[in-house]
Amino acid sequence: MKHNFEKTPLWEKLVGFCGFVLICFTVVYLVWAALTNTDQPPSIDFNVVRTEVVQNQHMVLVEVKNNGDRTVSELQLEARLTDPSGKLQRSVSQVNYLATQSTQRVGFYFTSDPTKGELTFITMGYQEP
Amino acid sequence: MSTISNPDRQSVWIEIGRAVAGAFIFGLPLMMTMEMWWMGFYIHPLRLLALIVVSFPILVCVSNVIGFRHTREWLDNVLDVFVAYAFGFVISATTLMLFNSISWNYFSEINFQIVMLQAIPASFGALLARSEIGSGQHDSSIEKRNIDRLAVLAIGAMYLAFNVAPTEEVQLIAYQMSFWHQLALLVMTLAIMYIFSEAGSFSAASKRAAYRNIGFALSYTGTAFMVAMLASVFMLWGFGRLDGLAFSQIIANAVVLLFPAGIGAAAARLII
Repeated sequence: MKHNFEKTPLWEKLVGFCGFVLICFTVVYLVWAALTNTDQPPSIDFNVVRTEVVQNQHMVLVEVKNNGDRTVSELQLEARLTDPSGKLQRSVSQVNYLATQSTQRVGFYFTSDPTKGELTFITMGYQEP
Repeated sequence: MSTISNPDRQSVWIEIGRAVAGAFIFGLPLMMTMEMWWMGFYIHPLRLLALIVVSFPILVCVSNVIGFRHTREWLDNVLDVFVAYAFGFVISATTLMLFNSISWNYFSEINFQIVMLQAIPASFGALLARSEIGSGQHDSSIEKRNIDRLAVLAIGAMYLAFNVAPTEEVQLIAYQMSFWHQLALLVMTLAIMYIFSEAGSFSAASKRAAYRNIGFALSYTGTAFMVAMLASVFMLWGFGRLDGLAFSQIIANAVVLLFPAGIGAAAARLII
């Protein structure tokens, strides 16, 4: 039983054309992505979004961004707060996955007010997925 | 303005409904699997491309056997596959957006990879919908080419393997199995595949005398085994689950994934 392509409904031709464009775009994009990937190691940027008091503690909400070309997993982060008296406080957090050029929000808790001290962020380590 | 008669309008909605239902039923378990979202973060573009390139001709052959309608011309089959991809992509993108699994926080290319990865099994569902959950009106008596038979085996193997290959459980199971466990699993896989082959020989789809002998069931089991093994290794490689493993661990992982893939391949003949 032969099917006449001319009798194929218009909607199916249109959806099929969209699928064709999608597949062509995907192939071109994936080849381009593979060829242009410079494989830069993960480079993590920290950007403080806000600080707020939560149950007698100070929470610092930070947006971390991976500027490298490789996705990282089990990303260990540490925030260090040095208060005016020179006392050092540490707070740690972990991000399961942070894809390339993507961001994730992370919270760090301190007992001292971070706005009255010096806050630094350190990338401790990660795993390649 | 085009005029569409009521039966035509009904038929359009039935076709669309089946494709959407198939994409959901086949794709949803994977859309709700976190390893699949994370896989989109780091899968190598060429491996994703390989998954698409390998699945495309398989789907075209499967469409020759079943499909959205009684098609036998290659252009119709290719069109069926593109329609299935389009449905798979839209359903996956919409669902993942609702789950917030794709997000503006992610690089747009990462979002695209996550959706495209999910669109592959969803498109299997959209294409298979007619046979699986549709009216089942496809003509199973039509003589299939050998390449079509292999494609049916491959689609069965790939579908079930797709559900587990991205998960960490495959590696964990492989770690906790001894060589004796692996051997026993391999024997059990073959036994189940043989039972499915025998059952398939007696199904309505294959009443011919040639199919009702032990030789045919054994040869079918052997072919299905080979296709399922290739599909297992390919899926594990595609998802990066073989990277850095010793040869013995590669075999162990392949044997574990062969269990669902082999059952999928052998059962495909009963279902499609």
